[in-house]
Amino acid sequence: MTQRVNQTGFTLVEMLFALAFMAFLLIFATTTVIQIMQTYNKGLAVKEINQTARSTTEDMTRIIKASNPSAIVTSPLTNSPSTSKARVCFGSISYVWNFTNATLNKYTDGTRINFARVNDPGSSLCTLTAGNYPNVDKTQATELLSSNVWVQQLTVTPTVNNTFYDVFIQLSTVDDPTSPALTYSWANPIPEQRVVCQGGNIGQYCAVANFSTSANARGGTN
Amino acid sequence: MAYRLQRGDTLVEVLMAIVIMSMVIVGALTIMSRGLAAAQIALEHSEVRLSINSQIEVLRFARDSYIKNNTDPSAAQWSAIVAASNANPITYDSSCTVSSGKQPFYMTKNGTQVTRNVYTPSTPTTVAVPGKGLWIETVLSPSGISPAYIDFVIRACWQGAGSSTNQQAVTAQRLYDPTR
Repeated sequence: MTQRVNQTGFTLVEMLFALAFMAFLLIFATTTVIQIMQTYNKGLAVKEINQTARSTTEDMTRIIKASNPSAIVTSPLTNSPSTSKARVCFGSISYVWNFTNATLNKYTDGTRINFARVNDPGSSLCTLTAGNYPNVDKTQATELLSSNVWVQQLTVTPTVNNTFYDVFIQLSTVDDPTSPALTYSWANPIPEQRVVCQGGNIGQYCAVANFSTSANARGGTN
Repeated sequence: MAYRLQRGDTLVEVLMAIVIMSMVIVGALTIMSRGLAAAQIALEHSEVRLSINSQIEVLRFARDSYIKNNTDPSAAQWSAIVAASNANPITYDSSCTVSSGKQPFYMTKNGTQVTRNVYTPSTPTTVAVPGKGLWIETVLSPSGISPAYIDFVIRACWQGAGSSTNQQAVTAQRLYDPTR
């Protein structure tokens, strides 16, 4: 009994102070961690956009330079994301992708393609078979993008009497459909301005990058 | 009794600890955001580099057209480039001004030919594109040198995202012209 009387705990005020202090510290730590995570993710996405676009455009220009213009098939490539078959064939190598989160192009095992470079001699992927373009054999394909990055636009346009090909690639970070950070205006005549990063809610980030280059198709014609 | 003997940190000690921790966190965040800005600028440089490569490809096409066939409309553009060139050296500075005495230009393509366009100086707020922040200056080879050549200096200048200074990219390409 006497022992119990001698026990002393914290007063209510002390307890409240301690709790408030802990809460403050926790909130501070949590926001910091979230901030660091976002910066890290954004850095990763920007790096991936940069790397993919650079290696892809470089690869495409090299292929175009070595190609005979008549072997390049750009007909399945349209710029309307909802209906596009999203592929281009250079005779030996083909590129197949999906715009944003579409699932039009698939591998033969049924999984979705993000952006693939495929060994495809004879451009069979750009040849209609029974009204459809064939699915992609996974063993012949290399996936170029992770799921953090979307292909927004990709065009390969012949110009200067079909001896030049203009390549335009627009990549962006993945957008949240419930609170979009990207705004779309497909009617805009300037392709670079069709998808713009406006910034969404606090904590959301976005990045859009446009890469355009051109190459002279000299293969077979000198 | 035991309670009275407890010794915790004083308020000053606790405050010092918080201040030090905040400084470390602020420092780390600053470094991270600086790294992000550097990544963004690297991205812009890649975009500009592709446009520069494209310009070189077009110049080479104009030269090749000229050598192959003098009546091609693209070949006439090469003659125009040569006519507007001189042997004066190029001067660089950090404010991205066109070298004095040079006639800056940029190349475009349409369905049938490549074209030389006169460049009007401007600094774009976003990434440099041909005609807007991206231009070409030429230096003719000194007379008596065979084969004659033209040094093309493709220069780009733009206001990088989140950076106060102008970004610059310069590439030189020498094209020989054995007909001259």
